[in-house]
Amino acid sequence: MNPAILIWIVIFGLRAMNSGKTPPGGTAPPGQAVEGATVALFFFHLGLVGILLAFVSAGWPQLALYAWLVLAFPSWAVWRVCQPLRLRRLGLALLLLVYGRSQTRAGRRRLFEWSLGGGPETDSPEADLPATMRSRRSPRESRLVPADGWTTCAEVLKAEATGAIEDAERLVSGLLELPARTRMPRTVARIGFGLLAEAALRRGDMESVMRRASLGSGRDCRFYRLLARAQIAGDAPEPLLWIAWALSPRRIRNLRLLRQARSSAAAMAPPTALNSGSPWAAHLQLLERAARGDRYDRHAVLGLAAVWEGHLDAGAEAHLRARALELGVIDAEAACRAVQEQVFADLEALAGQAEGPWPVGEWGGLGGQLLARAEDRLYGELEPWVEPYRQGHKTEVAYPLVEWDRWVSFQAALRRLEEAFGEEAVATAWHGGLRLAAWNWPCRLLALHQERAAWACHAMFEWTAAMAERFGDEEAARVNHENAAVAARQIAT
Amino acid sequence: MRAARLECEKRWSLHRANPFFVLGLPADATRSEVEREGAKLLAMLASGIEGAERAETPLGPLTRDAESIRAALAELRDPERRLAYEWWARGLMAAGATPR
Repeated sequence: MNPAILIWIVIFGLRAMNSGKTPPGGTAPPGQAVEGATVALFFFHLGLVGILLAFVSAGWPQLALYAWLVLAFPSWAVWRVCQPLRLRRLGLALLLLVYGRSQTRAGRRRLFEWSLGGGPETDSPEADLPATMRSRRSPRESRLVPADGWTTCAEVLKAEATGAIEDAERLVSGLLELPARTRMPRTVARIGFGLLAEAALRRGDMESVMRRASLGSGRDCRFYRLLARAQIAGDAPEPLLWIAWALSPRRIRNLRLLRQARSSAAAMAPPTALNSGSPWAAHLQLLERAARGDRYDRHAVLGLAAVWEGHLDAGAEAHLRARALELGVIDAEAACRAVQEQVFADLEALAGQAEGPWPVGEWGGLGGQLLARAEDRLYGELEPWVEPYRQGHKTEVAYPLVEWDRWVSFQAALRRLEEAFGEEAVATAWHGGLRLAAWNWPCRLLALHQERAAWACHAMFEWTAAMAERFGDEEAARVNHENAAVAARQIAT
Repeated sequence: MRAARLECEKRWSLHRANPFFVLGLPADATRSEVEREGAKLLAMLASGIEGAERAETPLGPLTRDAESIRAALAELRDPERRLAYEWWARGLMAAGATPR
Protein backbone atom coordinates (compact mmCIF):
# COMPACT_ATOMS: atom_id res chain seq x y z
CA MET A 1 0.00 0.00 0.00
CA ASN A 2 1.14 3.54 -0.73
CA PRO A 3 2.76 4.97 2.47
CA ALA A 4 0.87 8.30 1.97
CA ILE A 5 -2.44 6.46 2.26
CA LEU A 6 -1.29 4.84 5.46
CA ILE A 7 -0.31 8.26 6.86
CA TRP A 8 -3.77 9.60 5.94
CA ILE A 9 -5.48 6.76 7.67
CA VAL A 10 -3.37 7.26 10.80
CA ILE A 11 -4.03 11.06 10.80
CA PHE A 12 -7.78 10.62 10.40
CA GLY A 13 -7.84 7.91 12.99
CA LEU A 14 -6.02 10.10 15.52
CA ARG A 15 -8.26 13.09 14.82
CA ALA A 16 -11.37 11.00 15.19
CA MET A 17 -10.06 9.60 18.49
CA ASN A 18 -9.20 13.09 19.74
CA SER A 19 -12.71 14.30 19.08
CA GLY A 20 -14.02 12.17 21.90
CA LYS A 21 -11.48 13.29 24.48
CA THR A 22 -12.78 14.79 27.68
CA PRO A 23 -11.42 18.03 29.12
CA PRO A 24 -8.36 17.78 31.37
CA GLY A 25 -9.42 16.70 34.81
CA GLY A 26 -12.92 15.97 33.61
CA THR A 27 -14.91 12.83 33.14
CA ALA A 28 -16.82 11.57 30.17
CA PRO A 29 -20.57 12.19 30.18
CA PRO A 30 -22.78 9.25 30.98
CA GLY A 31 -23.49 6.74 28.24
CA GLN A 32 -21.48 5.55 25.34
CA ALA A 33 -22.58 8.23 22.88
CA VAL A 34 -19.13 9.77 22.54
CA GLU A 35 -17.41 6.46 21.92
CA GLY A 36 -20.02 5.61 19.32
CA ALA A 37 -19.51 8.94 17.58
CA THR A 38 -15.75 8.44 17.58
CA VAL A 39 -16.01 5.08 15.89
CA ALA A 40 -18.51 6.48 13.37
CA LEU A 41 -16.21 9.40 12.56
CA PHE A 42 -13.24 7.05 12.14
CA PHE A 43 -15.12 4.97 9.58
CA PHE A 44 -16.45 8.13 7.94
CA HIS A 45 -12.92 9.40 7.38
CA LEU A 46 -11.81 5.98 6.24
CA GLY A 47 -14.55 6.19 3.61
CA LEU A 48 -13.31 9.65 2.62
CA VAL A 49 -9.84 8.28 1.97
CA GLY A 50 -11.40 5.70 -0.33
CA ILE A 51 -13.29 8.37 -2.28
CA LEU A 52 -10.20 10.54 -2.63
CA LEU A 53 -8.20 7.55 -3.84
CA ALA A 54 -10.87 6.99 -6.46
CA PHE A 55 -10.38 10.59 -7.66
CA VAL A 56 -6.62 10.05 -7.89
CA SER A 57 -6.96 6.78 -9.76
CA ALA A 58 -9.47 8.43 -12.14
CA GLY A 59 -6.73 10.90 -13.11
CA TRP A 60 -8.06 13.96 -11.21
CA PRO A 61 -5.32 14.52 -8.61
CA GLN A 62 -6.00 18.28 -8.33
CA LEU A 63 -9.67 17.71 -7.62
CA ALA A 64 -8.63 15.12 -5.05
CA LEU A 65 -6.34 17.66 -3.41
CA TYR A 66 -9.07 20.34 -3.15
CA ALA A 67 -11.57 17.85 -1.84
CA TRP A 68 -9.03 16.60 0.68
CA LEU A 69 -8.28 20.15 1.89
CA VAL A 70 -11.96 20.91 2.42
CA LEU A 71 -12.90 17.58 3.97
CA ALA A 72 -9.83 17.18 6.15
CA PHE A 73 -10.00 20.77 7.43
CA PRO A 74 -13.72 21.57 7.43
CA SER A 75 -13.40 24.19 10.17
CA TRP A 76 -10.86 26.14 8.11
CA ALA A 77 -13.06 25.85 5.02
CA VAL A 78 -16.11 27.10 6.93
CA TRP A 79 -14.51 30.13 8.59
CA ARG A 80 -11.95 31.11 5.99
CA VAL A 81 -13.82 30.33 2.78
CA CYS A 82 -17.56 29.96 3.28
CA GLN A 83 -18.00 32.75 5.83
CA PRO A 84 -16.16 35.50 3.88
CA LEU A 85 -17.79 34.38 0.62
CA ARG A 86 -21.16 34.07 2.37
CA LEU A 87 -21.66 30.48 1.22
CA ARG A 88 -24.27 29.71 3.82
CA ARG A 89 -25.45 26.28 2.68
CA LEU A 90 -21.99 24.92 1.97
CA GLY A 91 -20.76 26.30 5.29
CA LEU A 92 -23.61 24.68 7.20
CA ALA A 93 -22.96 21.38 5.42
CA LEU A 94 -19.25 21.49 6.21
CA LEU A 95 -19.96 22.33 9.84
CA LEU A 96 -21.44 18.85 10.11
CA LEU A 97 -17.96 17.45 9.45
CA VAL A 98 -16.32 19.44 12.24
CA TYR A 99 -15.70 17.33 15.32
CA GLY A 100 -17.50 18.02 18.56
CA ARG A 101 -20.53 17.13 20.61
CA SER A 102 -23.96 18.12 19.42
CA GLN A 103 -23.98 20.98 21.92
CA THR A 104 -20.85 22.63 20.52
CA ARG A 105 -22.02 21.91 16.96
CA ALA A 106 -25.20 23.87 17.68
CA GLY A 107 -23.13 26.77 19.02
CA ARG A 108 -20.88 26.79 15.94
CA ARG A 109 -23.91 26.74 13.70
CA ARG A 110 -25.46 29.72 15.50
CA LEU A 111 -22.24 31.69 15.29
CA PHE A 112 -21.84 30.91 11.59
CA GLU A 113 -25.41 31.91 10.81
CA TRP A 114 -25.26 35.15 12.77
CA SER A 115 -21.88 36.00 11.25
CA LEU A 116 -23.78 36.10 7.95
CA GLY A 117 -26.34 38.45 9.39
CA GLY A 118 -29.07 36.20 10.62
CA GLY A 119 -30.08 32.83 11.97
CA PRO A 120 -33.24 30.89 11.47
CA GLU A 121 -35.06 33.27 13.80
CA THR A 122 -34.41 36.40 11.75
CA ASP A 123 -37.73 36.09 10.00
CA SER A 124 -39.57 36.14 13.28
CA PRO A 125 -41.25 39.49 13.97
CA GLU A 126 -40.06 39.29 17.57
CA ALA A 127 -36.41 38.67 16.72
CA ASP A 128 -34.74 41.70 18.22
CA LEU A 129 -32.96 41.83 21.57
CA PRO A 130 -31.26 39.23 23.78
CA ALA A 131 -33.34 40.67 26.61
CA THR A 132 -36.44 39.52 24.81
CA MET A 133 -35.13 36.01 24.30
CA ARG A 134 -37.53 34.79 26.90
CA SER A 135 -40.62 35.67 24.95
CA ARG A 136 -39.18 34.99 21.52
CA ARG A 137 -38.09 31.41 21.76
CA SER A 138 -40.24 28.43 22.30
CA PRO A 139 -39.38 26.81 25.63
CA ARG A 140 -38.04 23.70 23.93
CA GLU A 141 -35.76 25.67 21.58
CA SER A 142 -34.42 27.83 24.37
CA ARG A 143 -33.67 24.85 26.54
CA LEU A 144 -31.63 23.37 23.73
CA VAL A 145 -29.40 26.43 23.42
CA PRO A 146 -26.44 26.08 25.77
CA ALA A 147 -24.58 29.02 27.30
CA ASP A 148 -20.97 28.86 26.16
CA GLY A 149 -18.37 30.80 24.18
CA TRP A 150 -19.96 29.95 20.84
CA THR A 151 -23.49 30.94 21.71
CA THR A 152 -22.39 34.04 23.59
CA CYS A 153 -20.49 35.26 20.52
CA ALA A 154 -23.51 34.41 18.38
CA GLU A 155 -25.76 36.42 20.72
CA VAL A 156 -23.43 39.41 20.46
CA LEU A 157 -23.56 39.26 16.65
CA LYS A 158 -27.31 38.87 16.80
CA ALA A 159 -27.64 41.92 19.05
CA GLU A 160 -25.42 43.86 16.66
CA ALA A 161 -27.49 42.74 13.67
CA THR A 162 -30.71 43.85 15.35
CA GLY A 163 -29.29 47.19 16.50
CA ALA A 164 -29.27 46.32 20.20
CA ILE A 165 -25.77 47.69 20.73
CA GLU A 166 -26.16 48.02 24.49
CA ASP A 167 -27.00 44.33 24.81
CA ALA A 168 -24.02 43.44 22.64
CA GLU A 169 -21.68 45.54 24.76
CA ARG A 170 -23.04 44.04 27.96
CA LEU A 171 -22.39 40.50 26.71
CA VAL A 172 -18.88 41.50 25.63
CA SER A 173 -18.14 42.94 29.06
CA GLY A 174 -19.23 39.57 30.48
CA LEU A 175 -16.60 37.90 28.28
CA LEU A 176 -14.01 40.42 29.42
CA GLU A 177 -14.75 39.54 33.03
CA LEU A 178 -14.40 35.79 32.54
CA PRO A 179 -12.14 34.24 35.17
CA ALA A 180 -8.76 33.16 33.83
CA ARG A 181 -9.54 29.49 34.23
CA THR A 182 -12.70 29.51 32.16
CA ARG A 183 -12.27 27.44 29.04
CA MET A 184 -12.67 29.11 25.68
CA PRO A 185 -12.38 27.00 22.52
CA ARG A 186 -9.49 28.07 20.30
CA THR A 187 -11.74 28.70 17.32
CA VAL A 188 -13.86 31.06 19.41
CA ALA A 189 -10.73 32.96 20.48
CA ARG A 190 -9.44 33.18 16.91
CA ILE A 191 -12.58 33.47 14.82
CA GLY A 192 -15.43 34.37 17.17
CA PHE A 193 -13.75 37.35 18.82
CA GLY A 194 -12.46 38.49 15.42
CA LEU A 195 -16.05 38.55 14.17
CA LEU A 196 -17.12 40.55 17.23
CA ALA A 197 -14.35 43.11 16.65
CA GLU A 198 -15.34 43.36 13.02
CA ALA A 199 -18.97 44.07 13.97
CA ALA A 200 -17.82 46.95 16.19
CA LEU A 201 -15.55 48.18 13.40
CA ARG A 202 -18.52 48.36 11.06
CA ARG A 203 -20.10 50.82 13.49
CA GLY A 204 -16.84 52.77 13.73
CA ASP A 205 -16.67 52.19 17.51
CA MET A 206 -12.92 51.80 17.85
CA GLU A 207 -12.89 51.47 21.64
CA SER A 208 -15.21 48.53 21.34
CA VAL A 209 -13.01 47.08 18.58
CA MET A 210 -10.04 47.32 20.94
CA ARG A 211 -11.92 45.61 23.79
CA ARG A 212 -13.21 42.79 21.62
CA ALA A 213 -9.96 42.17 19.76
CA SER A 214 -8.07 42.10 23.05
CA LEU A 215 -10.14 39.04 24.01
CA GLY A 216 -8.91 36.95 21.12
CA SER A 217 -5.81 35.75 19.38
CA GLY A 218 -4.80 35.16 15.78
CA ARG A 219 -4.29 37.29 12.71
CA ASP A 220 -7.76 38.86 12.65
CA CYS A 221 -7.63 40.05 16.22
CA ARG A 222 -4.03 41.27 15.86
CA PHE A 223 -4.99 43.43 12.89
CA TYR A 224 -8.07 44.83 14.63
CA ARG A 225 -6.10 45.60 17.81
CA LEU A 226 -3.52 47.55 15.85
CA LEU A 227 -6.15 49.35 13.80
CA ALA A 228 -8.00 50.42 16.95
CA ARG A 229 -4.75 51.50 18.58
CA ALA A 230 -3.90 53.59 15.53
CA GLN A 231 -7.29 55.29 15.67
CA ILE A 232 -7.57 55.81 19.42
CA ALA A 233 -4.04 56.57 20.56
CA GLY A 234 -2.44 57.21 17.17
CA ASP A 235 0.70 55.42 18.29
CA ALA A 236 0.52 52.31 16.07
CA PRO A 237 3.27 52.51 13.45
CA GLU A 238 1.70 52.73 10.01
CA PRO A 239 4.02 50.10 8.44
CA LEU A 240 3.18 47.66 11.24
CA LEU A 241 -0.51 48.26 10.63
CA TRP A 242 -0.16 47.54 6.93
CA ILE A 243 1.91 44.41 7.64
CA ALA A 244 -0.82 43.23 10.02
CA TRP A 245 -3.38 43.93 7.31
CA ALA A 246 -1.28 42.02 4.73
CA LEU A 247 -1.09 39.04 7.11
CA SER A 248 -4.76 39.16 8.06
CA PRO A 249 -6.87 36.48 6.40
CA ARG A 250 -9.54 38.69 4.81
CA ARG A 251 -7.52 41.40 3.19
CA ILE A 252 -10.02 42.71 0.64
CA ARG A 253 -12.81 43.08 3.18
CA ASN A 254 -10.46 44.41 5.85
CA LEU A 255 -9.25 47.10 3.49
CA ARG A 256 -12.84 48.23 2.96
CA LEU A 257 -13.55 48.22 6.70
CA LEU A 258 -10.33 50.08 7.34
CA ARG A 259 -11.35 52.83 4.92
CA GLN A 260 -14.89 52.97 6.35
CA ALA A 261 -13.59 53.35 9.90
CA ARG A 262 -11.26 56.14 8.88
CA SER A 263 -13.93 58.07 6.99
CA SER A 264 -16.43 57.79 9.87
CA ALA A 265 -13.82 59.18 12.28
CA ALA A 266 -13.18 62.11 9.97
CA ALA A 267 -16.92 62.87 9.65
CA MET A 268 -17.35 63.75 13.32
CA ALA A 269 -18.48 67.33 13.92
CA PRO A 270 -16.32 69.69 15.95
CA PRO A 271 -17.46 70.44 19.51
CA THR A 272 -19.42 73.57 20.31
CA ALA A 273 -17.20 76.51 21.18
CA LEU A 274 -19.02 78.21 24.06
CA ASN A 275 -17.43 80.52 26.58
CA SER A 276 -17.27 78.51 29.77
CA GLY A 277 -17.29 81.52 32.07
CA SER A 278 -20.87 80.98 33.21
CA PRO A 279 -22.57 77.90 34.62
CA TRP A 280 -25.02 77.87 31.69
CA ALA A 281 -22.24 77.65 29.14
CA ALA A 282 -20.19 75.19 31.22
CA HIS A 283 -23.30 73.08 31.78
CA LEU A 284 -24.16 72.81 28.11
CA GLN A 285 -20.57 72.25 27.12
CA LEU A 286 -20.31 69.28 29.46
CA LEU A 287 -23.69 68.00 28.32
CA GLU A 288 -22.56 68.17 24.71
CA ARG A 289 -19.38 66.27 25.56
CA ALA A 290 -21.47 63.62 27.30
CA ALA A 291 -23.84 63.38 24.34
CA ARG A 292 -20.88 62.94 22.00
CA GLY A 293 -19.56 60.11 24.16
CA ASP A 294 -16.44 62.01 25.26
CA ARG A 295 -14.89 60.87 28.50
CA TYR A 296 -14.81 63.00 31.62
CA ASP A 297 -14.59 62.24 35.32
CA ARG A 298 -16.92 62.96 38.23
CA HIS A 299 -14.76 65.86 39.39
CA ALA A 300 -16.03 67.79 36.37
CA VAL A 301 -19.66 67.19 37.39
CA LEU A 302 -19.08 68.13 41.03
CA GLY A 303 -17.18 71.21 39.89
CA LEU A 304 -20.14 72.21 37.75
CA ALA A 305 -22.53 71.60 40.67
CA ALA A 306 -20.36 73.88 42.82
CA VAL A 307 -20.52 76.63 40.14
CA TRP A 308 -24.31 76.33 40.03
CA GLU A 309 -24.63 76.80 43.81
CA GLY A 310 -24.05 80.54 43.52
CA HIS A 311 -26.62 80.90 40.74
CA LEU A 312 -29.40 78.95 42.40
CA ASP A 313 -29.35 80.69 45.76
CA ALA A 314 -32.13 82.74 47.39
CA GLY A 315 -31.25 85.91 45.45
CA ALA A 316 -31.38 84.14 42.08
CA GLU A 317 -34.64 82.49 43.06
CA ALA A 318 -36.17 85.87 43.96
CA HIS A 319 -35.27 87.22 40.51
CA LEU A 320 -36.76 84.17 38.84
CA ARG A 321 -39.92 84.44 40.90
CA ALA A 322 -40.32 88.10 39.98
CA ARG A 323 -40.04 87.21 36.29
CA ALA A 324 -42.55 84.39 36.78
CA LEU A 325 -45.05 86.89 38.15
CA GLU A 326 -44.43 89.20 35.19
CA LEU A 327 -45.18 86.36 32.80
CA GLY A 328 -48.37 85.54 34.69
CA VAL A 329 -47.30 82.17 36.09
CA ILE A 330 -49.93 81.05 38.59
CA ASP A 331 -47.68 78.96 40.84
CA ALA A 332 -44.40 80.89 40.69
CA GLU A 333 -42.79 78.75 43.39
CA ALA A 334 -43.46 75.53 41.55
CA ALA A 335 -42.18 77.04 38.28
CA CYS A 336 -38.93 78.09 39.98
CA ARG A 337 -38.59 74.65 41.52
CA ALA A 338 -39.06 73.08 38.06
CA VAL A 339 -36.12 75.08 36.72
CA GLN A 340 -33.90 73.94 39.59
CA GLU A 341 -35.05 70.36 39.16
CA GLN A 342 -34.12 70.52 35.48
CA VAL A 343 -30.60 71.62 36.39
CA PHE A 344 -30.36 68.80 38.93
CA ALA A 345 -31.71 66.21 36.48
CA ASP A 346 -29.10 67.29 33.90
CA LEU A 347 -26.36 67.02 36.53
CA GLU A 348 -27.59 63.56 37.48
CA ALA A 349 -27.49 62.45 33.85
CA LEU A 350 -24.00 63.88 33.54
CA ALA A 351 -22.90 62.05 36.69
CA GLY A 352 -24.30 58.81 35.29
CA GLN A 353 -22.14 59.11 32.19
CA ALA A 354 -19.02 60.27 34.09
CA GLU A 355 -16.15 57.92 34.84
CA GLY A 356 -13.99 57.28 37.84
CA PRO A 357 -14.73 57.31 41.55
CA TRP A 358 -16.68 59.97 43.39
CA PRO A 359 -14.09 62.28 44.94
CA VAL A 360 -13.67 61.69 48.66
CA GLY A 361 -14.67 64.59 50.89
CA GLU A 362 -17.55 66.36 52.53
CA TRP A 363 -19.95 67.41 49.83
CA GLY A 364 -22.88 69.59 50.72
CA GLY A 365 -25.53 71.27 48.61
CA LEU A 366 -26.01 70.08 45.06
CA GLY A 367 -22.83 67.95 45.08
CA GLY A 368 -23.93 66.13 48.25
CA GLN A 369 -27.38 65.50 46.81
CA LEU A 370 -25.87 64.12 43.60
CA LEU A 371 -23.61 61.80 45.53
CA ALA A 372 -26.39 60.49 47.77
CA ARG A 373 -28.70 59.95 44.79
CA ALA A 374 -25.98 58.10 42.87
CA GLU A 375 -25.25 55.84 45.84
CA ASP A 376 -28.93 54.98 46.28
CA ARG A 377 -29.31 54.31 42.58
CA LEU A 378 -26.28 52.02 42.32
CA TYR A 379 -27.22 49.96 45.40
CA GLY A 380 -30.77 49.88 44.06
CA GLU A 381 -29.58 48.42 40.76
CA LEU A 382 -28.35 45.32 42.63
CA GLU A 383 -31.57 44.76 44.52
CA PRO A 384 -33.54 42.87 41.82
CA TRP A 385 -30.89 40.14 41.90
CA VAL A 386 -30.13 40.11 45.61
CA GLU A 387 -33.59 40.50 47.13
CA PRO A 388 -35.07 37.07 46.22
CA TYR A 389 -32.06 35.25 47.71
CA ARG A 390 -31.97 37.44 50.81
CA GLN A 391 -35.62 36.69 51.53
CA GLY A 392 -35.17 33.01 50.74
CA HIS A 393 -37.82 33.17 48.03
CA LYS A 394 -37.96 30.52 45.38
CA THR A 395 -36.28 32.04 42.33
CA GLU A 396 -37.26 31.27 38.81
CA VAL A 397 -34.37 29.91 36.74
CA ALA A 398 -34.64 30.64 33.03
CA TYR A 399 -32.70 29.09 30.15
CA PRO A 400 -28.89 29.04 30.33
CA LEU A 401 -28.27 31.80 27.81
CA VAL A 402 -30.91 34.03 29.39
CA GLU A 403 -29.42 33.43 32.83
CA TRP A 404 -25.94 34.22 31.49
CA ASP A 405 -27.26 37.48 30.06
CA ARG A 406 -28.78 38.34 33.45
CA TRP A 407 -25.57 37.40 35.25
CA VAL A 408 -23.59 39.73 32.98
CA SER A 409 -26.06 42.55 33.79
CA PHE A 410 -25.62 41.79 37.49
CA GLN A 411 -21.82 41.98 37.14
CA ALA A 412 -22.12 45.26 35.23
CA ALA A 413 -24.24 46.77 38.04
CA LEU A 414 -21.63 45.71 40.58
CA ARG A 415 -18.84 47.11 38.43
CA ARG A 416 -20.60 50.48 38.28
CA LEU A 417 -20.93 50.50 42.08
CA GLU A 418 -17.26 49.68 42.54
CA GLU A 419 -16.12 52.25 40.01
CA ALA A 420 -18.11 54.99 41.71
CA PHE A 421 -17.72 54.14 45.40
CA GLY A 422 -14.79 51.74 45.61
CA GLU A 423 -14.13 48.37 47.16
CA GLU A 424 -15.71 49.29 50.47
CA ALA A 425 -19.11 49.67 48.80
CA VAL A 426 -18.75 46.25 47.16
CA ALA A 427 -17.77 44.71 50.52
CA THR A 428 -20.92 46.22 52.04
CA ALA A 429 -23.01 44.79 49.22
CA TRP A 430 -21.26 41.39 49.50
CA HIS A 431 -22.08 41.00 53.16
CA GLY A 432 -25.51 42.54 52.65
CA GLY A 433 -26.82 39.71 50.48
CA LEU A 434 -24.73 39.70 47.33
CA ARG A 435 -22.90 36.64 48.62
CA LEU A 436 -26.12 34.64 48.78
CA ALA A 437 -27.13 35.56 45.25
CA ALA A 438 -23.71 34.92 43.69
CA TRP A 439 -23.44 31.54 45.44
CA ASN A 440 -26.94 30.16 44.99
CA TRP A 441 -27.57 31.41 41.48
CA PRO A 442 -25.10 29.12 39.64
CA CYS A 443 -26.00 26.20 41.95
CA ARG A 444 -29.63 26.36 40.87
CA LEU A 445 -28.73 26.92 37.24
CA LEU A 446 -26.38 23.94 37.12
CA ALA A 447 -28.82 21.71 38.96
CA LEU A 448 -31.55 22.51 36.44
CA HIS A 449 -29.67 22.61 33.12
CA GLN A 450 -26.62 20.43 33.77
CA GLU A 451 -24.05 20.44 30.98
CA ARG A 452 -25.86 23.06 28.89
CA ALA A 453 -25.18 25.58 31.64
CA ALA A 454 -21.80 24.13 32.73
CA TRP A 455 -19.60 26.67 30.95
CA ALA A 456 -21.58 29.62 32.36
CA CYS A 457 -21.78 28.07 35.84
CA HIS A 458 -18.04 27.39 35.86
CA ALA A 459 -17.37 31.09 35.16
CA MET A 460 -19.98 32.11 37.77
CA PHE A 461 -18.53 29.87 40.48
CA GLU A 462 -14.97 31.01 39.75
CA TRP A 463 -16.05 34.65 39.90
CA THR A 464 -17.87 34.07 43.20
CA ALA A 465 -14.83 32.28 44.64
CA ALA A 466 -12.56 35.17 43.59
CA MET A 467 -14.93 37.69 45.22
CA ALA A 468 -15.10 35.60 48.39
CA GLU A 469 -11.30 35.47 48.56
CA ARG A 470 -11.18 39.21 48.08
CA PHE A 471 -13.43 39.83 51.07
CA GLY A 472 -11.92 37.14 53.33
CA ASP A 473 -14.93 34.84 53.07
CA GLU A 474 -13.00 31.55 53.26
CA GLU A 475 -15.93 29.17 53.36
CA ALA A 476 -17.56 30.67 50.29
CA ALA A 477 -14.23 30.66 48.46
CA ARG A 478 -13.55 26.99 49.20
CA VAL A 479 -17.03 25.72 48.33
CA ASN A 480 -17.25 27.79 45.16
CA HIS A 481 -13.87 26.50 43.95
CA GLU A 482 -15.20 22.98 44.47
CA ASN A 483 -18.40 23.86 42.64
CA ALA A 484 -16.36 25.32 39.78
CA ALA A 485 -14.49 22.01 39.47
CA VAL A 486 -17.80 20.14 39.34
CA ALA A 487 -19.07 22.45 36.59
CA ALA A 488 -15.78 22.15 34.68
CA ARG A 489 -16.20 18.39 34.47
CA GLN A 490 -19.49 18.87 32.65
CA ILE A 491 -18.27 21.36 30.05
CA ALA A 492 -18.67 19.97 26.54
CA THR A 493 -15.67 20.25 24.27
CA MET B 1 -23.35 53.42 30.25
CA ARG B 2 -24.95 53.70 26.86
CA ALA B 3 -28.29 54.44 28.52
CA ALA B 4 -26.64 57.29 30.42
CA ARG B 5 -25.20 58.62 27.17
CA LEU B 6 -28.61 58.43 25.50
CA GLU B 7 -30.09 60.35 28.41
CA CYS B 8 -27.43 63.04 27.98
CA GLU B 9 -28.10 63.12 24.25
CA LYS B 10 -31.81 63.57 24.89
CA ARG B 11 -31.21 66.39 27.36
CA TRP B 12 -28.71 68.06 25.03
CA SER B 13 -31.24 67.92 22.19
CA LEU B 14 -33.91 69.51 24.41
CA HIS B 15 -31.59 72.42 25.19
CA ARG B 16 -30.67 72.76 21.55
CA ALA B 17 -34.32 72.89 20.55
CA ASN B 18 -35.01 75.80 22.94
CA PRO B 19 -37.92 77.66 21.25
CA PHE B 20 -36.00 80.93 21.42
CA PHE B 21 -33.22 79.30 19.39
CA VAL B 22 -35.68 77.71 16.95
CA LEU B 23 -37.33 81.07 16.30
CA GLY B 24 -34.02 82.94 16.39
CA LEU B 25 -35.25 85.41 18.99
CA PRO B 26 -33.63 86.92 22.08
CA ALA B 27 -34.84 85.74 25.51
CA ASP B 28 -36.59 89.04 26.20
CA ALA B 29 -38.78 88.91 23.08
CA THR B 30 -42.36 89.91 23.84
CA ARG B 31 -45.36 87.71 23.22
CA SER B 32 -46.30 89.64 20.07
CA GLU B 33 -42.72 89.48 18.74
CA VAL B 34 -42.76 85.71 19.23
CA GLU B 35 -46.05 85.33 17.37
CA ARG B 36 -44.95 87.64 14.54
CA GLU B 37 -41.65 85.82 14.06
CA GLY B 38 -43.41 82.45 14.09
CA ALA B 39 -45.94 83.55 11.47
CA LYS B 40 -43.14 85.03 9.33
CA LEU B 41 -41.09 81.84 9.44
CA LEU B 42 -44.11 79.67 8.63
CA ALA B 43 -44.89 81.85 5.63
CA MET B 44 -41.25 81.72 4.48
CA LEU B 45 -41.21 77.93 4.78
CA ALA B 46 -44.50 77.63 2.89
CA SER B 47 -43.08 79.81 0.11
CA GLY B 48 -39.88 77.78 0.01
CA ILE B 49 -37.68 80.79 0.73
CA GLU B 50 -34.08 79.71 1.06
CA GLY B 51 -32.58 79.85 4.54
CA ALA B 52 -35.88 79.62 6.44
CA GLU B 53 -35.32 75.97 7.24
CA ARG B 54 -32.01 76.61 8.94
CA ALA B 55 -31.50 78.35 12.29
CA GLU B 56 -28.15 79.40 13.70
CA THR B 57 -28.18 78.85 17.46
CA PRO B 58 -25.55 79.26 20.20
CA LEU B 59 -25.44 75.46 20.29
CA GLY B 60 -24.90 74.92 16.60
CA PRO B 61 -27.04 75.00 13.45
CA LEU B 62 -30.56 73.63 13.66
CA THR B 63 -32.90 72.45 10.93
CA ARG B 64 -36.42 73.71 11.40
CA ASP B 65 -39.71 72.93 9.70
CA ALA B 66 -43.29 74.07 10.12
CA GLU B 67 -43.88 71.48 12.81
CA SER B 68 -40.93 72.54 14.96
CA ILE B 69 -41.92 76.20 14.63
CA ARG B 70 -45.50 75.47 15.69
CA ALA B 71 -44.18 73.43 18.60
CA ALA B 72 -41.90 76.31 19.63
CA LEU B 73 -44.81 78.75 19.52
CA ALA B 74 -46.95 76.43 21.62
CA GLU B 75 -44.17 76.05 24.21
CA LEU B 76 -43.72 79.79 24.56
CA ARG B 77 -47.45 80.39 24.98
CA ASP B 78 -47.29 78.46 28.27
CA PRO B 79 -45.89 80.96 30.86
CA GLU B 80 -44.37 78.26 33.09
CA ARG B 81 -42.53 76.63 30.20
CA ARG B 82 -41.51 79.99 28.79
CA LEU B 83 -39.96 80.89 32.16
CA ALA B 84 -37.63 77.86 31.99
CA TYR B 85 -36.67 78.37 28.32
CA GLU B 86 -36.11 82.04 28.93
CA TRP B 87 -33.87 81.32 31.94
CA TRP B 88 -31.66 79.00 29.89
CA ALA B 89 -31.58 81.22 26.79
CA ARG B 90 -30.84 84.35 28.85
CA GLY B 91 -28.04 82.58 30.72
CA LEU B 92 -26.40 81.45 27.49
CA MET B 93 -26.76 84.84 25.82
CA ALA B 94 -25.29 86.54 28.88
CA ALA B 95 -22.36 84.15 28.70
CA GLY B 96 -21.57 85.64 25.32
CA ALA B 97 -22.72 82.69 23.28
CA THR B 98 -23.59 83.90 19.82
CA PRO B 99 -25.38 82.02 17.08
CA ARG B 100 -22.97 79.95 15.00
